Amino acid sequence: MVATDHVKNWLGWRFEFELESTKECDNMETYTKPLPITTPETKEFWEGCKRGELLIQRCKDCGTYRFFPIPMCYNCNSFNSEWAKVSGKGKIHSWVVVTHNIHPAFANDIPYAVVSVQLDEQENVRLLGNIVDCRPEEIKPNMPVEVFFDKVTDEFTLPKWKPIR
Amino acid sequence: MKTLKDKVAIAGIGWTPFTKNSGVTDLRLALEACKMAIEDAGLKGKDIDGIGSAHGNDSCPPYWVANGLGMSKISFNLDNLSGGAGPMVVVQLAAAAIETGLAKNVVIYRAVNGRSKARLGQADSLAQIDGQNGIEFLAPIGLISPAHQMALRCRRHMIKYGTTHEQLGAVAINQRKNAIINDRAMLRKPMNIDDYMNSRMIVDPFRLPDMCLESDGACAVVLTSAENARNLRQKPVYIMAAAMGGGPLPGPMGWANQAPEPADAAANYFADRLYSMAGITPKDIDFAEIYDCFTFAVIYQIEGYGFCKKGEGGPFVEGGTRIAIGGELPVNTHGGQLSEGYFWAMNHLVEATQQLRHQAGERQVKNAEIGLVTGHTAAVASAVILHN
Repeated sequence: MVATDHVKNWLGWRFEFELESTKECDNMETYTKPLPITTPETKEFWEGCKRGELLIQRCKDCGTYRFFPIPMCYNCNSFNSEWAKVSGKGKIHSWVVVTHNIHPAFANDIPYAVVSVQLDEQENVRLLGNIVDCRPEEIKPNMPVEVFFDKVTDEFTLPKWKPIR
Repeated sequence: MKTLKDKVAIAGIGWTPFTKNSGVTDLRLALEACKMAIEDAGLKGKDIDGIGSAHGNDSCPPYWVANGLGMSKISFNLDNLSGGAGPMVVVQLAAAAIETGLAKNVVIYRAVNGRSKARLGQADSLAQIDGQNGIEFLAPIGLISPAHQMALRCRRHMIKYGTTHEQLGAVAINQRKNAIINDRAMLRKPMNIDDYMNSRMIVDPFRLPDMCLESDGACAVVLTSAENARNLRQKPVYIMAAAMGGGPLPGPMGWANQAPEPADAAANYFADRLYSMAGITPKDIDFAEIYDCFTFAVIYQIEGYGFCKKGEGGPFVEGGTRIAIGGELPVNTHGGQLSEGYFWAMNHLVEATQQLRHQAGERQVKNAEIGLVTGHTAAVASAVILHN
């Protein structure tokens, strides 16, 4: 995979965990897209996905949600956080449609959309993901969507988005 | 009150040819551009006591360049990894170092084999630019390149303000026109609105001409005190103001949807400071070399730097009249990163200096006195205002 060697060189001297996506896995023959390379601080998010729960980091001291995951609360500087279950509902905030492929594993998906979903819980919590059951040209601003969990390998389930019709 | 205004000047500029395959190392490119800038200033390598560069793990460290230049000491050494905002950050920090007496003559460069080697438009740029965030949250969903990520911001602008594809195209077409009369430019093929609208859509809303080039080459400038510059070879081009900044919740390019309003340029957070240091308003700017990773970036920075209100950037560039070399605000008179070459605005700095020296030939903006040069890495940005 194109990204692997570059990631190894870049990360090799900084992090200690293995590159998950290079491990042998029963389903790897059919799923070739990059898998998440996680950290000890984010593994609960991915475990939640496996259980079908959308968990968002939330400050235990002031209640502010934040995403992408980061160790400190930007609102009160607390390091105390939890992974809180959210409704899984949100609205389309923006999107792009990739029409020219630059990564071999996505070749069969072209054209594919990546959406930014603003969660109902807090205005500035926005997740990026792929959308299912929706053609790219059907995507509209503020379209209501809900999370859908796609088990892509034994190890990883990815949160994706479906229009609420 | 302390100010950087008019304390430091650009005394020399240099560059290499801009190509798809330089055939040499980025170290060689850096040395060529720096040597040209140093000689342009009427100096020698040993007169230089400071060096700075901005890169993305894609270029040699500055101390190697210092070695080849024969710098007798290194009183200032800065290696900045903040993407396209980097060079204008390094320029202003070097200026501050000169003004506070840390260094006397500083060479600043950007050197990269950005086409023949690491290409930012390709998949393996993701780990380099977005690091942990990219390999965990972006690669799995296919939001991989800066183009993918900035297109997300552009879409916000289209949703919020009705910005159109034709308006994006107007930016690209204007700059291609300028590149055609610029011997340095890589891309000099004529392009009209039909060519633009019929060109390949890469990541909707970006077509191929909406995206900057990937280039091999280098650009360099020599900075020194205003007083010293007046004794050197060229007419000084003074740094009238400098600033950098951005809004809350910054991050790498892949945090494209995280800003309070992704359709707003980081410039909104510091343009006031920039004009205040210069003691001018946007109306006083004679031309603007605006960081153009993508056509959209030009539109939202025209808003961010106060040339029009938020949301009016599209109509401002529509048809290309206002932003043409003869227009009310000439933009990217050299063709910019869309058509000249992609050097994180170091080529914008070179062009702005030529404009202010009135050495821009056919591209010359009449009576150019004050120019803006901007750097940009989406969440964070940087800028200088120059004058002659």
